[in-house]
Amino acid sequence: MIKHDEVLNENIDNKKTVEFNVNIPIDNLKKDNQKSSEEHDIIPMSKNSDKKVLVAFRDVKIGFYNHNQLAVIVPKLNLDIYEGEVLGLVGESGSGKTTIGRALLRIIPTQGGTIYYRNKRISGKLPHGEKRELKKKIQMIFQDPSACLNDRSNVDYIISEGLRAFHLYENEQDRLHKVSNSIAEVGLRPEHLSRFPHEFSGGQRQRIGIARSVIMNPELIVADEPISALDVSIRAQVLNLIRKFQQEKKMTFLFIAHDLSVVKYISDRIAVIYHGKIVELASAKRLFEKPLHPYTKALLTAVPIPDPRLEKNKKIEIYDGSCHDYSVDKPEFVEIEENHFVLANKKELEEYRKLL
Amino acid sequence: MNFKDLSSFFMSEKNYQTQIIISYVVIALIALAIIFIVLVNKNVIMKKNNAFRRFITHPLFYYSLKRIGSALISVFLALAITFFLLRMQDLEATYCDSGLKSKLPSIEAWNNYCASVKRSLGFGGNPIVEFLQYLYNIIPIPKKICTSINPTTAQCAEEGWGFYLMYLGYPAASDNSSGDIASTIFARLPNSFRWGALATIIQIVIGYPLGVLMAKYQDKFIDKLGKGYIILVDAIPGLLYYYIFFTLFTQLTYNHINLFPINFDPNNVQTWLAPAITSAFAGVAGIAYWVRRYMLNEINSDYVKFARAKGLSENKIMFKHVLRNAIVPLSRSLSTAFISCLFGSFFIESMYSIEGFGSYLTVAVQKKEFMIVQGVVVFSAIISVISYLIADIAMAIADPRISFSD
Amino acid sequence: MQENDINVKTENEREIEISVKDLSVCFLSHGNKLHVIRNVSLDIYKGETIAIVGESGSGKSVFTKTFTGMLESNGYISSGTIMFQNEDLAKLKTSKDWLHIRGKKIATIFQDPMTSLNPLLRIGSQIIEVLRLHRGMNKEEAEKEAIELLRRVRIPEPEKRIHDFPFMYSGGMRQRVVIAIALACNPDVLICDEPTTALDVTVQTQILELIKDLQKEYNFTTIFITHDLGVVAGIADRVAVMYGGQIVEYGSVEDIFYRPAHPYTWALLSSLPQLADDGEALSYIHGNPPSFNEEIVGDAFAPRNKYALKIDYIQEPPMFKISDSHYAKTWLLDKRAPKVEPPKIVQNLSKKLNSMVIDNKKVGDNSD
Repeated sequence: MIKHDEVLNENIDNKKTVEFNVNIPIDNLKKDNQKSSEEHDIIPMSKNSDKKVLVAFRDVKIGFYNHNQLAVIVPKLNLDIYEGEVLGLVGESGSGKTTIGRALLRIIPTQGGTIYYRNKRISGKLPHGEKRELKKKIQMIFQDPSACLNDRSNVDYIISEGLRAFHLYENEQDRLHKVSNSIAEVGLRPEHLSRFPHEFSGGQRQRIGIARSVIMNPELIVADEPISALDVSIRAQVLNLIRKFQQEKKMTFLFIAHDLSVVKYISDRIAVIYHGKIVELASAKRLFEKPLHPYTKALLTAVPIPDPRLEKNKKIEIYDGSCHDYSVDKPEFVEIEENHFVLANKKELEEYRKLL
Repeated sequence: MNFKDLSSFFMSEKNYQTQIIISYVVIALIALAIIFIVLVNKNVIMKKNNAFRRFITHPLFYYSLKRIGSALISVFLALAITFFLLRMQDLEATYCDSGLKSKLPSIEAWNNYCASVKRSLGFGGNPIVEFLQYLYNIIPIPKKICTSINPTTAQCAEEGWGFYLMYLGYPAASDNSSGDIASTIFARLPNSFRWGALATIIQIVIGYPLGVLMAKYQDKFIDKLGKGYIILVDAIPGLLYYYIFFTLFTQLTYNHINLFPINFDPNNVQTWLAPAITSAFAGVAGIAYWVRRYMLNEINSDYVKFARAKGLSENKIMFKHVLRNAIVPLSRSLSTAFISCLFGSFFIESMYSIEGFGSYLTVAVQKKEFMIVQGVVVFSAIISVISYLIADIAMAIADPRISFSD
Repeated sequence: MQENDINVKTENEREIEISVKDLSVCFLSHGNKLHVIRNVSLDIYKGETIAIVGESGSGKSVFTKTFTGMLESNGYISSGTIMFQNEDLAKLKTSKDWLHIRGKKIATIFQDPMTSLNPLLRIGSQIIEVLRLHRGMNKEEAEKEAIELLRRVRIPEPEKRIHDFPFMYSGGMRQRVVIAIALACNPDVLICDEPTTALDVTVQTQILELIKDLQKEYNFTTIFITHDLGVVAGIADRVAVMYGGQIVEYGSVEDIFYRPAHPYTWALLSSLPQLADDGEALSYIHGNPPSFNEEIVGDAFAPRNKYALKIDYIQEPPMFKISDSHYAKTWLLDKRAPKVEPPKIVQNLSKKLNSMVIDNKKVGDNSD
């Protein structure tokens, strides 16, 4: 999955335009670029949390060069992913949620800021060995299960591809054992191993995709809209699997989706992203109880409720970015209550505080 | 001043000085304009808004400029590769008349003679310098060029100075009667163009409808028939059906059925048919194959389903939606068809003894005429690059989704 | 199949727009005959919104394609009738026969607005061609009408927009254009084939609102195909649940959500993530949907059904009448069948959801 990123990273790093506008203390970036494996002291964004930060995005800027002009997709991202949690990332198409996931996987280079993984820098240039380590530790689940599996290789090969690449098995027997274990874990049978992807239904294919990621025993899995292409009844299976792996194997998930109802079920915390900026971040429960940002509210009311009376009577809020007046008073991403962040300026903050 | 006056002005030797000045001024202006537009910041030009500005900042203009730039590079590369490849050949045998060996007093004299011949043709010395000289020679501006060197003085011979618009050298001494290569090609090109254009038209007129029918009646009889034809053309070597057609047309002509006379006559369209049909036989299959493929792509697309749901009749869907959209990617194949008709016809021209472009190359290769081969490459490179350029720009205009920035 | 014969006069005050009787559709594939729609009967009333719900492969799209004769070339109607305005649509064969129906009386909106419009034609000309064809307008009239239509679907500055190409638009805007085209001829029936599946949630609500508003304005009948039960709850008056090429349950939207009777409907509802308790695994339907390669014996859902009875594997259940508006095709409703309670989650649906809604004060009492 992460094949061509090295070249891309190196090329674009030269043009790097780093923007320092820090309200959260971070280490000197220049020093980072020279020493990579050094441990940094990352100060968690939330002062009230005792959870261990696995991934920290600090002022991360992501964009693409188009004719030598940088099109910024994510201007300044600050986000912590705690160890063992499922963090839901919700937003519309084009909001940059997939881009963030890919930057974490190093498929897309960052244009500024730093991503830390277990207090080590993982963005920008890295020694080859560390890149390999990361590929082992961070895995991905894709949206379209039929597009991400090679049609010409059988399930056994697809699942054990990662094992082969990193020689994570002692002998052939060990490899087969691991593969059949992981396929059993996702609810398929060992006889499925010799079959080819086109012989499976969409839900089964997605489970093969999950088995392929999970067999590497990663610490973090980036799940990019893993259920959007699936039928309602199959979605539940995949969601259950993700939950199972989080609980039993203590894996951390970054769950990217556009459907809040699904994200609410699966996530511990939810980050709502709009036009590349996280506008609100809170625990799933709290976000549904007390949404503060108007965009979160609009997103919440937009989710259809499977109840005719509620759905037909519900009041829909429409979000219009022009409702904010940020001309003088610039917005900041502030922790308004314990573990509840919102993007707002001072005036809005006061209004939001009243709502709590 | 009408066009004839203008062309005679530029082709005649009389106003030589003025012509050179005009040509260089025009070229310098174009170069300056390109540098200005490409290098100078777009915003400087954009500040005011008038027709000229709108023209030079039009995305299509930029796009064309870029494509022309890359086209020039392609031509340059094609020239460089053939130039240095052909230089590896042993050319003495072709260009130095070995009959003179016995007539000349000494072997040195013959060597001297041979060296001067080679020098006047532009090889035998430093290949880089000669390549640059060659590039200068083919740039279409009027210039005075030394075409023969006096073997004794090693200076340009008195009668050696010539006035040329484009100089490609002369054929080997033995065949000096026909004049310089550039004018020979200019004279031969129209013949090839005549029947080549006819062949292209035949390909389009038969190939497009065939492809459309095959797509419309997919897996029905006509589709199967067409597929069979395409496989036949692919499977049989081209030479075989060239000969089959040639024999057929020859027999017809000998039996006084003058439908497809085989004696090519530039002024008689009917005589162009025989080579055109021979050549188009394969081309029709190629065009039909691609039309069918693109049509099927479009037929199975969602907007065709939606057009059907709108209640449009099948014919209207076919012509207004499907064919229109299928033709856009095919416009590129048109230039290919034309080029292959023009150049891919070395056998056909020899077969029907047409004094054309293709047969010129055949003769040149047989006689190891380095200068002619090189000259033919110059022309074919320029013509193909121009036709691809036109096709690309046409496609960019036809398809609004193609962004001009790339 | 006599058991599919339903008394059409149940809601006798309502006029029937489309009446489908014992419809069967077959597909020929690699020499196999696949029975994709099996004896389906359904009445669609004038002016209502009926949602057809089911998984992919349930036949919901194929079923509605028969209304406009848009089946793939290897599919055909093997038996049954589709009565629409005193005409049997099942009898129409060539595309010429269909011309007076398609677009004019029955219009369709497809799932993916990104590909529904011809990328090389201007938006205006794609609307104008319909107006000229079906309403016989001249170019100027058609252009005026096109602008008016674009305004109706709330596209800003329609005068300028008609000269745009589709690629300049976002998905939501394109779907608006598609709706404008579909409504160009005041159709009697509008078939929406998953019109919002490819769109963002916020855009989805806007499009659904638009369809609802336009329906009030134009009074057309909407057939809404979807797999999203949330969308169904918002837009439908009646719901038909399809499984394995048959309608297994149909009734008013309240019947289906508050009093579901078929185990498949139960399973669909209980797999909704909105209904799960925190930390509790979601329930899901085991196994795969039936493959049409083999003849289906008995109830198609039986192999995946927790509540399956022995008879489900032997004989196909008839359509049982539950109320005047509500029918379900399951042996559980037979007098001899054991009494089975629907899953708890389905019983408490309303209460559960009510607690989730932010602004629940605005919604009245929802206990059923």
